[in-house]
Amino acid sequence: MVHNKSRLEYKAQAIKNFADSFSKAPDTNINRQGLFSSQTQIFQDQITKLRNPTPPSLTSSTKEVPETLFDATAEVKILTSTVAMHLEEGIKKKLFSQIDSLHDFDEWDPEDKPLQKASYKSFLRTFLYLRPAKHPGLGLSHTGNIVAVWMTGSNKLTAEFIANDHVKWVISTQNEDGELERVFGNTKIGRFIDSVQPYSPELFFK
Amino acid sequence: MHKGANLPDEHHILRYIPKSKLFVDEDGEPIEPLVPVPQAFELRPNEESLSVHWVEYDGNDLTKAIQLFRLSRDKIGAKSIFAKAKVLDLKTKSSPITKAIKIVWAPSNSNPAHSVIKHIPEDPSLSTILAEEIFTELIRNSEIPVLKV
Repeated sequence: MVHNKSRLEYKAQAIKNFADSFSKAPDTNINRQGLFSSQTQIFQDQITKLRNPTPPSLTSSTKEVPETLFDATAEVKILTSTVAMHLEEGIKKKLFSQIDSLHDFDEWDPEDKPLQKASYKSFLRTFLYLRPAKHPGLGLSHTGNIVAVWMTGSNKLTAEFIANDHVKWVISTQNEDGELERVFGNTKIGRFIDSVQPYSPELFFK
Repeated sequence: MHKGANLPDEHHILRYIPKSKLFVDEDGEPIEPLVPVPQAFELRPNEESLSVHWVEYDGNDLTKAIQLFRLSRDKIGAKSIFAKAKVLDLKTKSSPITKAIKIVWAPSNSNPAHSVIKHIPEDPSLSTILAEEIFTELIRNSEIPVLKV
């Protein structure tokens, strides 16, 4: 058993040495131009790229706006698809239509951030828990947080979903004298329903 | 009038709102009547004041004012809107939250009518009041004709 293990270790070391010789190659022109064929050099470059990938932080800063919007759209759609089996029929399509519309390149303000996955995750978790009969209107903040609104007559519940399961909400209602009254809250999504409970949330969600 | 001067109370300002800051319905269309996201009236993380456009900079012509704004931007979405407010209304209606707000002329290289709302507090109720009670006249960009320069 010990003997077998040492043989494996020997093989692993040999493979590592072979791979290391490729990674050292870019610094030695003799190796590149003298010892390897052009085909091998291309192969070597590809291996080097795989071993030293460009960090996402560098690639994202050079992205064009359409690419950034496409990536953000894909990211949140994939996230939606992973929980689609828990959504009522047709909800996924509605959410996708809204995301596509909010990320419309022809309408996009380049100073804004596209929808952030962390904010959308907070929204989606709340949505799955609430299962509102009434589908919300959706919009974005400057920083890419998703903002949902439920309206009934002149009354409105607005909620901005923030990373790490936070939500900032506002309920605007018109009193008997026609004056607007507002209540504000800032809580974790697990406490969202409890927080809005005194203000008849069923008026908005059903 | 000099740079940094307060805009007259009877004058008006516009806040540009792209489509992504209008609530859209389940078909992806802006909800009718249009409803701006209150966060459209919040400062961006790197901003100290809220950018607006002074309507009466060059006479009292809304079309001309919007045309001037368009010239200052590379791109303006067809479905974007302008939210209009009167300077006096802004001061009066925001006074229960803050009395420090100032609306001043701050021309930029690309936009001579550029102005700013200064001393906006970090109070989430203000953006809601701005959206629901102050910037209530909404003008669709598509409804304002393109003037020939």
